[in-house]
Amino acid sequence: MSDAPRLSRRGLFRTVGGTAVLSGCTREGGGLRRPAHPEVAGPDPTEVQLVLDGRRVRARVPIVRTLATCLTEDLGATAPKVACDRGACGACMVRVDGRALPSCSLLAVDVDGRCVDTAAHPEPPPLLAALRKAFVEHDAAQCGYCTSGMIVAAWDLLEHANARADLTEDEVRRKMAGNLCRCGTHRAVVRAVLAVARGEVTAS
Amino acid sequence: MKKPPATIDGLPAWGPSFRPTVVGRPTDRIDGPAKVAGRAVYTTHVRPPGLLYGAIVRAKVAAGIVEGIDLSPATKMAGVRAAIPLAEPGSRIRFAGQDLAAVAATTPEIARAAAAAVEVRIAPAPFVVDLDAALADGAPRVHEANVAERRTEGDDPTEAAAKGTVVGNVRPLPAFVTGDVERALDRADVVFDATYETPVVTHCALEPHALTVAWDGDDAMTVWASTQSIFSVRDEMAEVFGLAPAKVTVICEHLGGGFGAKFGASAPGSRMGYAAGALAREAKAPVRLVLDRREEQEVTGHRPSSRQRVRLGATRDGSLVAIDVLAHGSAGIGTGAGVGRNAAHIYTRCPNRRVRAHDVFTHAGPGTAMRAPGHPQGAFALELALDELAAHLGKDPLDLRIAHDPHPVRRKEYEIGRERFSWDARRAAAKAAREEGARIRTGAGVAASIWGDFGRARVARVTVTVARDGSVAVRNGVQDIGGGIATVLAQVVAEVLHRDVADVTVAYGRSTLGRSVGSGGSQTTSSVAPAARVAAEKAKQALFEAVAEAVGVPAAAVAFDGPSIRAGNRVLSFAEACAFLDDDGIEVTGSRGPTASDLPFPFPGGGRAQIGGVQFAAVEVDTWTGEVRCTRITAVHDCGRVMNPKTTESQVAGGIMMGLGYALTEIRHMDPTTGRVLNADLERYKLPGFGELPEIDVHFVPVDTPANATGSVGIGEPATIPTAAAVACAVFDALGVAVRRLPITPDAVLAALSREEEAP
Repeated sequence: MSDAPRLSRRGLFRTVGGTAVLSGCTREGGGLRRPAHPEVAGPDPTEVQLVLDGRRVRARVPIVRTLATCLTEDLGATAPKVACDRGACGACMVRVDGRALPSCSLLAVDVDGRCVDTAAHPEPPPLLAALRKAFVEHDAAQCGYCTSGMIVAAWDLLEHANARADLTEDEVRRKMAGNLCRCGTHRAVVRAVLAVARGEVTAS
Repeated sequence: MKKPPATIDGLPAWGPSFRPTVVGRPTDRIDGPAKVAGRAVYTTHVRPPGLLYGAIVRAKVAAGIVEGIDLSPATKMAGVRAAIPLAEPGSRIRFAGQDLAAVAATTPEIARAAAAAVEVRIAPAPFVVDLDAALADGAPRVHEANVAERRTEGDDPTEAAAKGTVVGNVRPLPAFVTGDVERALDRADVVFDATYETPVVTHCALEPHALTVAWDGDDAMTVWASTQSIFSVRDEMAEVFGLAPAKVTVICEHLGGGFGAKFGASAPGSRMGYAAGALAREAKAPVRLVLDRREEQEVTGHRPSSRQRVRLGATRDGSLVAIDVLAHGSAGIGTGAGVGRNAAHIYTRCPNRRVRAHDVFTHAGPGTAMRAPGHPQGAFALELALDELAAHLGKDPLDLRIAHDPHPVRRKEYEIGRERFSWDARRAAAKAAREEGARIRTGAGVAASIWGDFGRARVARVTVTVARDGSVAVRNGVQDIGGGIATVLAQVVAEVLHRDVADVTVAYGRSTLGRSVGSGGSQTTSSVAPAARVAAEKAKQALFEAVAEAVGVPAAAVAFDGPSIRAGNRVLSFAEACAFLDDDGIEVTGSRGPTASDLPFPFPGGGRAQIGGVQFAAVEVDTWTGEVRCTRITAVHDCGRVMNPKTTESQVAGGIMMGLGYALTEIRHMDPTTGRVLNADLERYKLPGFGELPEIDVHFVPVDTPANATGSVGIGEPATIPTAAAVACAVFDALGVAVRRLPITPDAVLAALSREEEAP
């Protein structure tokens, strides 16, 4: 686990200063918690607070708004892309408390109080930084629209791999199968992910 | 063939003796860092102040007459700022998904709700979405009159316009005829006759069609567009709204894929350019329109279907005497169901060849150019038919191809592939497994590519600047679809001015940066790179003249010496040389002239040059489950001088992946009872993914083409032409029975195997 503080909605803004930047949140405990809203949300817009790429942010959102829409339209995030809008392509993937999830298929209000990391993290943890480098070196982005999601999926895969250096091409292919690409970067993506797994490309 | 010219556009050709130091080296794409860091801003993410969100109301029936459209339930909703009709009472509906109205609202959620609230009355009418039904006597007619072709820069530039008259739902395309096919078939020792089918597949760029329009007063606008052709968007918006083109600024900083479906301001089946502009005018605020995946699948174009009857005539000893293709295909309400050039223009040692193709109209969204229009369809049918004939004659299908293909480069490519792919060993292994009746079979197949476009003359205007501080920049309004043209611009300028790629700043993706071409027809590089060379050479000349004057030597005494500049007996760094420039520095613009040569090989009977390319496919087929896995593709291609091997290889690998989807997984299903697309999403429309990824071996054959000042030729389309055909041939090799319909799904394999068992 990283040194990221344990977050709860109530504790969030005590532990994270307005300008503090966290280097990639990791998962707390065993996955998503229920939202901490004490009251019933809606029908009016409601406020959500997130740690987005290490920065504390807030937005007033309609309760039906997806996390993807909240990130791109309310918060100006440029990394998540909505391509299928139903969790089938992976282009909108972000990490929520350290787990890669399709942001098009989560409601913003359900992610209130959590850590959301995108491929655009301004202070990338070493794995993310290495993946970016490897994706460029192996030319794993053509049009680039799937790339942010690919990188988030690969980040997740590498961080949770038991024996990272022993990852096989087959495992990478299987675990990246939820991310679609129409330009056909698959071969380059596999090479890039394996290069990071094996330490051939590192952050520094 | 003409003699190759020594100079092109007034410059010495980059011929065989040219030793580049930047061009031709594997180079990281310059937009890579922004893309991998999620910083690259696409049209879908542009947010001008006051942005409103648009949505389009679409027909849910495939045919009918609009009786009424009531916008008031939408306009009464809080947050709705504009609503416009896109059809009127009496308008005819020809496909499900057709434009009816559009709304703009303060949030995307309100816009969708408002679109759903618009009340539409349509008197439904009978429709046909199936090729057979459309061809039947008494079928509902899709069009009442002749149909104008919608042509884009993505279309095959050599394809002639159709002049035939629509009869029923059929519209004949121009036929290709050489020799006398009927007579040759009559006299042939062996006649092979079979029918092949290909499905409708869709472009599926991950970035949907998207457009944001912001008016600037009444006579100017800024348009952010997800487009393959910034200038076709500019010209279309100018025409639609009666503006001077210079008053329309179009921006496409990054483009999330296109594959042929993103030309012009509107999608092929939706007037989204007009809708966004009209909504923005009414609301007096910028409006963004982004289509959803159902809209992408229903209205933004597709590769037309085909049914091709192929007849081949041959002598007993294996000489082809006739190739005849009769094709019917549907591009929905649109045109362009041709089958490309494989049958007509590759195996030209066969003296009698005829290709006839017909558009069959159905009540579905319009087809449009999709990566090598017509060619993947035609390649599949013709190449698989050749293999079936070869088996009949007891000939090796690779030998049969080489025997009938005079193209010097492609012949070399076949031989290179034979070695790299271990063709003979794989064919022998397949034969052994087949004869043994093994459950898991392997197979090997090969197919050819043909494409021919060496770029457009005098369209791209590239500007190079050199400042007094030594900084170098290049600009052009081209969009980078992902092929890497921005990087090639930097490479060409760096080459001429003896700089590193990192020393050259590139500005692109905006109509104010100088006219450019659309990214279609594999002509971006060959149109833009030579113009960049012309501009860079002018800049070099201007710099040398400034140095000569300052140092007091004749201009001819100034030359590059590595990264330095030698003037007489003085050696200056590039920065020192640039210090002689005046405050305005150098700013020069270049464009390229007409294609200078038809080398390496012209179309028979035509003046256009063509390039080759061959792909070999290895498959494993489980004869119990019918599952096909492509294990290896060996791709041997030529595209003149390879400007950037890194991005070029990526493009070929990408074409192969798209071809694998065409071969194995992709088909758009229409519901014959509702007339709608059944799999208008990305979980039931199956794109090829990591699971389909084979070993991919890409090899380029460098060809010295003095066609333009850089010798560069595009590769995007040829890379996907032969893949599905080669896979189908490999499956035939594995099974001994051909699957004559794409995609080659497990049920199709099992059906083919059971047909074989039933055969006498």
